[in-house]
Amino acid sequence: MVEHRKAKLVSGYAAMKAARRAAHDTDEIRPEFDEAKGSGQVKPGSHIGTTVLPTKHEIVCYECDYIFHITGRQKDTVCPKCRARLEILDHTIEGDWSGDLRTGGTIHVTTDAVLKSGEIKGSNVILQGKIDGGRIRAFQWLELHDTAVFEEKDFEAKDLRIPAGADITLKRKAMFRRVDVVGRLKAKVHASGLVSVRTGGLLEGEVHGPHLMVEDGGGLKVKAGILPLEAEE
Amino acid sequence: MDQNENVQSSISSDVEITGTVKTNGNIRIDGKLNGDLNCGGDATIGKSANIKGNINVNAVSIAGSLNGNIIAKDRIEMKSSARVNGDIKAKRLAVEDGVTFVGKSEVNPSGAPAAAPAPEAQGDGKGEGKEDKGGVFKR
Repeated sequence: MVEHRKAKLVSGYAAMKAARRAAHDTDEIRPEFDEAKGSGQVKPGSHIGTTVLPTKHEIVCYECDYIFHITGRQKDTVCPKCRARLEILDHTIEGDWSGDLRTGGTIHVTTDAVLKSGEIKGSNVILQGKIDGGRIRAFQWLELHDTAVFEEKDFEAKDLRIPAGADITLKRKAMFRRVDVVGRLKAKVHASGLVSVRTGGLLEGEVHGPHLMVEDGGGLKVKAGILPLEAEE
Repeated sequence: MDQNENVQSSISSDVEITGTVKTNGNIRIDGKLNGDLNCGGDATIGKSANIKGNINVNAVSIAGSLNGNIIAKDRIEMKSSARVNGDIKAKRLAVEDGVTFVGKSEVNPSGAPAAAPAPEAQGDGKGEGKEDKGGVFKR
């Protein structure tokens, strides 16, 4: 005897519905969505969320100076060029300091800190203390506060920020990529990027570069040479 | 006289003027001016404007080209397409990124640097409990 497999019961009407759905996907099959369509409501099952991507951070390898990007917040990473293990932590220095410190994060030199020797290397450096024999290198931003005591040969940075309340005078030619002035800066600024003066800020001296932006309320007492790259060509 | 303050004079882009332009009201210039502009009100220098001369105004917004000095009682605004070759003096200044500016600037709205914000709890570098806190070094 032939064994018969159990067959599922399929009604003709259900089969027709499935075929129509596959072919047309019309509203007839889903009458409950007609009202939602006209009223502006969201159809059930529609994707209404937003996608949030983690922030990208620029990291400069403090061994080989290679620049790369990482996504999100990490404590350490590996340089893709020299394979060095890089720490990306923020540090705070209080009191006297001698020795080297290297990180891909931010180094905060507080008001009572004195850098007596060694080199401080960080992605961003906030200087409120004194440099007396040490040296600072910021791969990105160097923020000079009013309480900072330094000689210009003691630091090296790509970008310079003068926060509100700070009154900084630089005697040497100040060469940076970007300069952001919220306080007062008196200097001969030569920038390869954007020089920005925020509301309440004041830039005195000279400014040369391709980009200048002054917010309403910002002060500018300079001899300026702002020539965007397109104008130079 | 009150009517003049609200009326804006206009020099369109196909007009070329040689000489001094004086007005008590507002003015918009889109054409060419070889001479000075003395305006008691506000002046708007359009993108297609080309001025060779000095400007004395209450407030000015520049999007075009100017070879000359600007003295404004109130405000100077430079749009991103502005090209200014000369000195500027005003109470307030706003400059958009992209401006071409060669000259001296004398703008100091407050006469004093901005005050520091009120002390708050310190950010990332200090305090305990933050997972990615590197360290506090004290000697």
